Amino acid sequence: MQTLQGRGRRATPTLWRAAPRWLTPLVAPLFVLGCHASADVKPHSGTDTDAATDTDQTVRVPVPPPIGAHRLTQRQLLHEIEDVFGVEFHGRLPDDLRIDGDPNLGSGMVGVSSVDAETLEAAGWAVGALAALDTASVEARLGCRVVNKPWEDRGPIVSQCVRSWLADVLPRAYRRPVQQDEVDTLAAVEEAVAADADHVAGMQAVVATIVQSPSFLYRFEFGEPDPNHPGELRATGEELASRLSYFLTDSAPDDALVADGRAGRLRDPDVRRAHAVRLIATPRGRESTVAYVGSLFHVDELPRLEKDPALFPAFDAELVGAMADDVNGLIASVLLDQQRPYADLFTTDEAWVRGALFDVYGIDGGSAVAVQAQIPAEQRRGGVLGRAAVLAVGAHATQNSPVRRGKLVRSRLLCQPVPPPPPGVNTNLNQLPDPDLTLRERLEEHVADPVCASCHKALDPIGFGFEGFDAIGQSRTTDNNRPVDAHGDLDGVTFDDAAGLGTAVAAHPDLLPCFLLGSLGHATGTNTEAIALDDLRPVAEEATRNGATYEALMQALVASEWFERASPPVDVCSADEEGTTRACDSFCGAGLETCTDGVWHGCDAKVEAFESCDAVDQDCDGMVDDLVEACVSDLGPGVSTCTDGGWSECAGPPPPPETCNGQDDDLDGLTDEDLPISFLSVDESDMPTHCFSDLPSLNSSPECEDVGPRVCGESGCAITGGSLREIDTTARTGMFVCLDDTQVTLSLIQTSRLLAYQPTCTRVDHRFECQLAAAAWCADEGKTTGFATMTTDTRTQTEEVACVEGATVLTTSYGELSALSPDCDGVVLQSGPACHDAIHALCRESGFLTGIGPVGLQGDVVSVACLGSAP
Amino acid sequence: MTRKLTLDRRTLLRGMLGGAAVGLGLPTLESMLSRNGDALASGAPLPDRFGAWFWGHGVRLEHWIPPTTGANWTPSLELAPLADFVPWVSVVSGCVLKTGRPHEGGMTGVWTGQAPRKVGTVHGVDVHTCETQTVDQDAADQLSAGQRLRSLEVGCSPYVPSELGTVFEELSHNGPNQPNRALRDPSAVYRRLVGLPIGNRARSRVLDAVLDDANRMRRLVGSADRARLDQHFEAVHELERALEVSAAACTFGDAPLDPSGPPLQDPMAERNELMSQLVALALSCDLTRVFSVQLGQCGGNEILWNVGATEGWHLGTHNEALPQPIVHASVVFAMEQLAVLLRRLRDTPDGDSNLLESVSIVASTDCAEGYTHSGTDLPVLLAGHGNGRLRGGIHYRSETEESVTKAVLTGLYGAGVRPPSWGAGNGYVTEPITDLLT
Repeated sequence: MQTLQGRGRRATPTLWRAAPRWLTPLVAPLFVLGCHASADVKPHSGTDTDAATDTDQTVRVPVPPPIGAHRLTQRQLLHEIEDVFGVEFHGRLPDDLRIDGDPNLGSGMVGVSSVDAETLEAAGWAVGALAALDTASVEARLGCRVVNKPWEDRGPIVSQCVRSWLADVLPRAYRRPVQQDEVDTLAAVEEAVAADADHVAGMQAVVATIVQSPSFLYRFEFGEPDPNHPGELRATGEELASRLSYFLTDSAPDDALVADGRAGRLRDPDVRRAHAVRLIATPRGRESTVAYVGSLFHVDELPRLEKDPALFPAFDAELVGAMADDVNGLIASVLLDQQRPYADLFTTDEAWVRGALFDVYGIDGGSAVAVQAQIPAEQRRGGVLGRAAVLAVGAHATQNSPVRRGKLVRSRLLCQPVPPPPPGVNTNLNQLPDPDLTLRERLEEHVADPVCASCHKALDPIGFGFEGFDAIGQSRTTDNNRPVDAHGDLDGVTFDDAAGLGTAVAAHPDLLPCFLLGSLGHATGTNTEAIALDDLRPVAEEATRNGATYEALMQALVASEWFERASPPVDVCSADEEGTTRACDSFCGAGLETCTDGVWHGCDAKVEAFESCDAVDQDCDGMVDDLVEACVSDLGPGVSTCTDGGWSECAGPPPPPETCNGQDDDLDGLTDEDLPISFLSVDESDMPTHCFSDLPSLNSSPECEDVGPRVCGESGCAITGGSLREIDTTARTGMFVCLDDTQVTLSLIQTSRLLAYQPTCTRVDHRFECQLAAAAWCADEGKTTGFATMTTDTRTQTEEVACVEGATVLTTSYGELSALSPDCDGVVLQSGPACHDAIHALCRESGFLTGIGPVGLQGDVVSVACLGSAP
Repeated sequence: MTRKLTLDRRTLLRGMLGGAAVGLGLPTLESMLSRNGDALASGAPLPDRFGAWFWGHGVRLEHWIPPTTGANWTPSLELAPLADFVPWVSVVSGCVLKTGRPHEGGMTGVWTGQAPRKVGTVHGVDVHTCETQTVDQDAADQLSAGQRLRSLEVGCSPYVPSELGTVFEELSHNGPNQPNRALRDPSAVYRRLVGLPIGNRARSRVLDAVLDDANRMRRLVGSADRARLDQHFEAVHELERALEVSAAACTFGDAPLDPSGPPLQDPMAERNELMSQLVALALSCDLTRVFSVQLGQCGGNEILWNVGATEGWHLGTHNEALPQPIVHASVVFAMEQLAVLLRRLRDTPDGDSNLLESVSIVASTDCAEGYTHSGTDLPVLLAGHGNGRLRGGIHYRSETEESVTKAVLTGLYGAGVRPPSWGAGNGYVTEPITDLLT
């Protein structure tokens, strides 16, 4: 660990994920081109390495890639977002760390910086907004209704729906079992945000949390001891499932893979082979294959390419798109659709052509979309390396780069490292080029310098093979008005042009092992530098016996031991610490480890793991099992809990409260029982249509209000009721508060008694005054307050009054009421549905179940009656 | 109180086309200032601000080093674009990059003060990141506590993955393999400044839950991954802390349009113009006190068509025959771009002064001369008056091959950040260049 300089720096963790230093004495480097003046480039023997032949060191020990966490790549994250939340996200995600063109290689080391955290936060909320678009989409996701009617309390039901949803989604999002407290944490987020806004916002917050969580963002591998290689690890069964799936489809494993992983069946190479075949054939498998193989040829660099417009007027965004389509089409067609050998990529004349690419390839015809075609043999392009895309990225803005083109073949395709120019070397030719020479002649002059020659001799003769094409891949026969010379040699095999070079590449003994080595790095998402080409030769031989197709190569690779093996995480120690021990810990306890050969080794603390349902506390958090899974109960979505190795019965949402509807809502065997205060929904069959108007002047009219006492009385749950509220103009329903005989006493009194309180009460359009009069009468009778039920008997001049003795009268104002329900302003409306909504809300805020009124009006003071206690 | 600052697309375009300075920020309102104008009414001093400004591939030293030393330096050919800003700019020459080979070593040597960390070898080529956080983050530790953004990172050429590790790609890092990716699209920077349209309470609850998960996972993983998750935790934790900060009241106009040049030719100057305005906006609104600008990318191959280049900048430094007139023109171009930022800062009022008075900017590159990859005489400029700490107008020429990290430490001092030492290994220094400080 670096000594901090006492200036408030953050910790400097060791993130060493490359091959450890302690390996270097034992590990021979891959074939490294001898870039020094005295050494000629050594043709590749195809079987060994420098160190193995010219030193007396012990036998090279290949070391599998280190185990660890991988931050999902952008492609993988997009797939995860689609799979987990069912939405397509097109926004910004943290950039991948691409190493040698491969985002997977950087995924094992890249972290989350301040800017990445900000990017993820914005992405999380954006995905949340897509996933929880509106109430309808949230209800569809949760499988239950989330909007409370004012008279309902669905809180416990919604809460259980959210938990069930989380128990279903989290294991998929986190790709592991999830624990009770994880569901609790997210359910609390939902509840808190919903309380501030609504369940749409609540669910957006939950999705935003998941997207930002390390459990979603990283693929964690812990490994398990490898019985065949003491001291090493191997991927667990479930980790193998993940490796297979992310490698071949950039997606989380599906149920079939997870099941085989859990059951240990993926230890069987044949089972892995079968899954590989299946995965490659999926749409994701196709997409990932084309992207990965295409990246070997730098196709991903095309959109950033710049060319001199004076020299290459044909080069525009349209042509660039066509170039990419060509190589991508070729890869899909040759490797996947036709299942031809991988090496055929370097010899085929098949092309996928559109637009200006027809002219570039000298093919008659035209098409706006890429169509399959044959490049005329006389073009001598020789497979993918001679395609416009690959030639263009292997060239500068004005001229070809035989160095770059040669390096692609040496380094990416044959795994022969080409180091950069050594430091301190003047790379400048320091002279103006002879204007009469071809590029090749000028480069050959450059290579006369022995310092430059050693490397250039390994690259240029390959790159010269493409001199028959210019910097955007058009055929040419002259360069600088002199005839093109495209002959060269590849490790002793001579050729005259790109087609000959393609044949030489296709036949090169390192082509398949190198492709496999690169693919192993892509699959394990980490550096494979401590594994040599030779280690992959047996794998290549197996694939060759099966036709050396992409499928055969991938089958052989995933079936090989290299796909399973891993080494423990590497933590570097200094020379001073050599031989010392230090304390180490795991989640499950403390132990000791020793500094050996520059690396801390052998921490003997118990190995940690994710919890599983088996009566064992794997993660040592003091809670055995403690897992949750989603399930479905009779009452809706539920949660099942693991205790002591077994899953509980499905706990669904609680039954809804009993309501006055003729049904046994709370499932206790009784219908409409024990409902002193109930809410009754009324529709058009019981109420005049104009009551469902959204105009307050219509829906507040007396005929609407008068329905209440009758329908409540007929409901069987109450003897009377009132307070029409919550006119739903779409569903065309209204709601009344109904009261049974424990709440209300009915009295028939002379209408004149009411007139004494409110002289205008008799007039039909002054019902509000009658309500006030009835309330006052009840109060004077010692029965707190009440309302007139408006069953006026004109013959006997009597009025039915309902007194509510148990009510609590609160005073308020129309200012306060209109804040709760704008139309209830005391000017236009003094009562009616809008005011009832406001009174209900006010009573709820004060801890009551609901309310009626107004029951009094003295100047600015409005009295309302609250009933029952809040749920 | 609301300070209304608008970034207007039409104004921006007019400013660009006319080449004229565009008034962007409005002054800090008088009522917020104490009588002498150099401090807020609360008694707090005007903010200290730190900037890092990077261009790649070094300079042509023969055209770079000013002919005179000491005060009021005479601009060389390549520093001529900064002639208007001599009183605000000090030139440091003669210092040496002592922490490894240029490019990756130049990036870490200048911006972290130490050698890079090798993280692996791919096809024979070493892949590097940095050992520690970069100097802008050192400054942010002290300066950004009350700001919504810890730091602002912008780039003026499209991001190109170097494929050789993070230090080739980004200047700002929170730590190894934790690059703070510069945003290269002005519209994306604008969105970052505006922030999320989500309430702070909801954001805070979500970030809390994210931290819960980070805590859970860090207990499960091995030490290397634990360190990685700890950094992740810290980054999220800081987002949450920023929510508690009362948001700077800033009013934004329309988002700027991302520049688009001729087909497949990227307009670096246009991007720089917009980015400079956005940096000034962020500072003026006090959204952040730390920024970094990457004109190009370390080892990058941006083609400067406008100076007559037909190949990438980096390639050109290796391929063009001496005396490399195109490379020279490219350096002049880079300094013109720095002048755009300095002008923007000078023209943006700040209290009764301007942003250039308060800021301390270290402008530097990754090697002295591109064609030799030399680390000797690595160019460094210190711009701004650092609220009176930096003298400006000095050409300091080291006669003793001092470490280039001394110049960078001086820039930190200019922002009031005075660590007991800076850098490590051969880059370790404890003293700034006192000649450049008041």
